[in-house]
Amino acid sequence: MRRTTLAVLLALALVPFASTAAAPTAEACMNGVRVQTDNPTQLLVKAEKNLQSGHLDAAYKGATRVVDSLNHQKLSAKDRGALDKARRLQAVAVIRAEGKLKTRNIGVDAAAALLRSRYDHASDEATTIAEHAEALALTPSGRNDALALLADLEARDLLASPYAWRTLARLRAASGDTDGATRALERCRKSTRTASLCAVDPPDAT
Amino acid sequence: MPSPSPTRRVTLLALLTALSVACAPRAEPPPTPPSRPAVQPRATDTPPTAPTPEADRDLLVARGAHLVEAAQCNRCHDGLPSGPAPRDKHCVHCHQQIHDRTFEQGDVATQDRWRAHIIHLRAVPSLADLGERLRPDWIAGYLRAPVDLRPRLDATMPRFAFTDADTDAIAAFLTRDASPTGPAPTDGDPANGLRLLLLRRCTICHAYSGADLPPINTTGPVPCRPDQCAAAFKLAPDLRHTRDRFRRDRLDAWLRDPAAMHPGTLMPRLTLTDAERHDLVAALLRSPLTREPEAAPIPTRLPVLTRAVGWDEVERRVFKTVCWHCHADPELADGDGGPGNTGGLGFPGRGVSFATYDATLAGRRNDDGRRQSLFDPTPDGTPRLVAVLMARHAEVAGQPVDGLRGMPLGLPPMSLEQIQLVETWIAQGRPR
Repeated sequence: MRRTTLAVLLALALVPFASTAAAPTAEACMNGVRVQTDNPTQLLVKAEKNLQSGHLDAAYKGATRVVDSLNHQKLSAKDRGALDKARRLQAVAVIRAEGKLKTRNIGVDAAAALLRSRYDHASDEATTIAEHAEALALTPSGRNDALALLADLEARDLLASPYAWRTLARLRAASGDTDGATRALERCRKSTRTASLCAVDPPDAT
Repeated sequence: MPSPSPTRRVTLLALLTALSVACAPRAEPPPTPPSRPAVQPRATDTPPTAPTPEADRDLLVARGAHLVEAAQCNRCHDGLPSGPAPRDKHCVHCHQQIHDRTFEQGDVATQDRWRAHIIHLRAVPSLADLGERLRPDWIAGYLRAPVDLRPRLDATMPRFAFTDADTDAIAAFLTRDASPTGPAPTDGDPANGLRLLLLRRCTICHAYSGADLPPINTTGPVPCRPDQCAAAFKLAPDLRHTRDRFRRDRLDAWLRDPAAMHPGTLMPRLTLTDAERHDLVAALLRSPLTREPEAAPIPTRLPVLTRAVGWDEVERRVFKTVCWHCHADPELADGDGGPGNTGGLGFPGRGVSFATYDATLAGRRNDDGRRQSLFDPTPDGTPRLVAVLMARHAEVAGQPVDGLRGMPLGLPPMSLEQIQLVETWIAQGRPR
């Protein structure tokens, strides 16, 4: 009986320490399980990381592998989410590469149309707006709108991507707003560890 | 326990069915009593009958059922008539299965790693048979202003956005099968009851804050097996709440045979004479509480660090430890980004995601649908994200902050060092 009592007291004594131990990464929850057990999800996460760090060909290839792996005739809810994300990653990679990916790709117009469609269907999603603005900025007729959209996101402190900051810097530089372009470039450099992403080549005058 | 009459059962079933068909979870407000059509009385009509108290109660219960469904109480609690949430949405079952090695995803090494990481939400009380045990007015008050009922459980009841009418309806639903109230025992010796609490080792699991327990050094047998005790220890309520929380007329029966009232309970059956039970009841209901719960101080934020803090560190040490659970990427989780992103637990989707750097900087969705930065300053200049993390410290200290819901919801606060990291990262311009 005494041993049982000791065991209970020892077990109870350890409970508070177990509760206050440093919390590690939530690997086993929701996205965490998928990221570690589901191949398309792993591909998408990797593709997104590549996209954010400027490895656009790798991002496009990874997203394309997911698109190709899905049975488009019988899409589950999970597949639909994965397909939407993969298509978006493809489109953004094409826009950011200005259509100059080494791999065969969907083309700038198709990519811009997809991002436009996402923008039209989203209410006020910062990432969607910024990606649409990046696409708009590729055409002279879209640059004013792109500048307005990105400046609004900047004013609301909702701009994240270095590509969006770079686009904003280029558009401002082209419109003569040197100070604004400098500010945007500073934020661009904060938002990436790939400094070369933040080079400013003003958009063509064409 | 008497069952509702057949008529009431049919009425309740009809109301529940109608509500479950008509009301999509989360998306719609809870039902309000339907307005009665204006009927012009004719000379031959009999006077309209007023709604009966029974009908009003049935409507209240049905409304409570809808609210419980909308708040997704079954993602943590068992014992609801709707059954548990699917495993992928059930915080506790998922954690328990990983610990029990019955989780079917991931290889052994991965699961072993997960097992070592899971700390919170492994034990949560069941909501079955509440009507026989708890008072609806206490349940309603608890939902309005949760207290630290189970001091050894690290998770607490979240602060929901319920109105008083909502909590009354939920309490009515949870206690819908209550038997009629009877007289509470008035005999019993509270002082001897306090001695018994110690001698029978009740205080191994139960705290009794505020009561002056006698200085008895107890060595008697522990009334449960080690594995039972470890679980019971975490879930055992602080007995100071029993006088307001428990049905006074049912406390004696509970102590006589807890499992008869609530099958599966971790509360052991104690061998007590009638007189001893009455003394214990008296100790729980009538012992003076000489001390208020000590108000824990709200800690002060640590100063921002002088060293550089980047995204990788703040993501690994803060955002991906807890935040990610409820603020995930919906495109990678069947459209469900968690309660804090796509909505759930009765909260509308705020669109907050900590899945990536870009998503974190994309802010939150306000009531008007417009996005707002997580880093916007609150009136005292604190970035909002830091303010909600500190608000959780205030909640745990019993001082919730108006207008700010502490995060992580219902879980222990982030450490001051974790909050310091977040604040430093924000102050340094949120570098990637």
